[in-house]
Amino acid sequence: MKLTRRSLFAAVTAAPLIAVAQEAPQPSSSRDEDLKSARETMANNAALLAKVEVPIATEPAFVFKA
Amino acid sequence: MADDLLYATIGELNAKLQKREVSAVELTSAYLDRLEKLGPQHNALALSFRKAALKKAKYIDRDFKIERLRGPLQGIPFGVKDLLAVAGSPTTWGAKPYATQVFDETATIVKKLESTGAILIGKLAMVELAGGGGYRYPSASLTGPGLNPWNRERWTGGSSSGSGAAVAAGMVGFALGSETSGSILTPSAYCGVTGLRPTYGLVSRAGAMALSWTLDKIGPMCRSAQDCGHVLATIAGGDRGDPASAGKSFYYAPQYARDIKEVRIGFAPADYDVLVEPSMRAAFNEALTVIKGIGNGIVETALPDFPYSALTGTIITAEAASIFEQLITSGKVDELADQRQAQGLRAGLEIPAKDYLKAMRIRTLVQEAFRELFGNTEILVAPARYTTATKITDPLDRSTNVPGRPKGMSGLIAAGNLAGLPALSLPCGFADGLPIAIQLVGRPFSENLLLKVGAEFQARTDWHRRRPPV
Repeated sequence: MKLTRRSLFAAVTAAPLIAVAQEAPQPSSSRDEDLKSARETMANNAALLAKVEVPIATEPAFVFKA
Repeated sequence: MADDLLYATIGELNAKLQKREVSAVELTSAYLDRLEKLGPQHNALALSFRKAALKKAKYIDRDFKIERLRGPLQGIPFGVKDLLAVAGSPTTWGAKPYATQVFDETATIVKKLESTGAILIGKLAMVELAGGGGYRYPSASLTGPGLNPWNRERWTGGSSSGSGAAVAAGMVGFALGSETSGSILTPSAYCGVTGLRPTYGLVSRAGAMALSWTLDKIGPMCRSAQDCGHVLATIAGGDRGDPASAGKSFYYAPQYARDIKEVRIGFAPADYDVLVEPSMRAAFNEALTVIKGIGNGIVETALPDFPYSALTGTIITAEAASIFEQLITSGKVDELADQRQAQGLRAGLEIPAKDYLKAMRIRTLVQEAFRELFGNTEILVAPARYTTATKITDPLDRSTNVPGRPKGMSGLIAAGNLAGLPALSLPCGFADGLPIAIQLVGRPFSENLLLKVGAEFQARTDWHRRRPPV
């Protein structure tokens, strides 16, 4: 294969880009999947809580002090 | 210095210090050497305080020389989970975004311990941000996965991972951990140490990282129930710096607690016959036999039926997302070691107010149900964990729920935290070469009774005296 100045330039400049891609901690698709998974957990929790009947007079379990 | 001394209880160490059989400088130096050697091997050490600790030990030796005695913790070297502030030193919360964080004020309970002559020798590693976003792997920490002294291929448990390893391997005389939902009981059980989760509000959290205002507690991790009593007596008490402080003191006086021969203890048979791993059953049944011999009978009990895991999940996620809002919105949350945790915190900002309030209203019902339950029994006993320590490479977010299987008391850690109840984890045997433990749970502010039963259990067994092969 004939090595031209143009192909040599392309090869040299591409190398750092590959290195950067390899250093990235996690691909964004993984983050999206993790976020989706977290949202699903929250939705499942909410669905379980919705099944519990709470008397209307029941107040939340906080105690605020003056 | 002989290993025996490094594994001695607080009472034994204090007796030797008072008799001047060992000096505080010698003891502190020996623990520091061990902490600095074994700590990094187990990813348990966040920061050593060698210079300050040895300086303090010299003062303590002078006190012993002139017989100025300050109590059982005088001269005892200890470590704290790295979510407690020590002025002028890094407090990382186990997380990269806070790796250089330094506070001006020392946490109230660290000051209390130091004022009684205990010697702080190190900050101990932890799961990043105490795991509030829900983490997938034991490696979710600035210092790497907590490696269990009983088998370094297994996890210490979290989030007080360094505290569990350090007490188990004789790197400190005792340690402080914190629990929002299981972070004292789990590493105590996995590492074979005795851990006490105090009643919510009994111990000040001023100077501690907040993860969930309505669930966070700080407690001792020690070599015996009696040691937990000594430490709790020092760190408990009202504090205006903690808005949730109950304003109550604690005097370790098990002799004045209720006669344990009158105490009825509740248990769920399914825990021992169905739910624990088969390799754990013999040891748990033996422990149950010992417990039966201590109290006034053991009665079959069922936990009130609530979705405990969903409740703690909703409350912690909502409160943690609010606490760490700036971290999340700035994008620095992505610097956390565990991406599942980072995205869990991010998603937490989306929790509807109605879900959080529903959880907190159900929590009121949980508290009422437990008040009723404790009308029939004084203490509940259950496995502290239903499996042995997990492999450090195994994911932690796999569901273990099997439809149709009895629940036993498998929800007790979450339920006890929701109701603010005290709990004591006691080593009770081994399975597959790894420690296992039972937990005792009592009414709010019944620590003296739990410690009395725990001490009696430990007088009849020697599991808490076993040492890992380090």
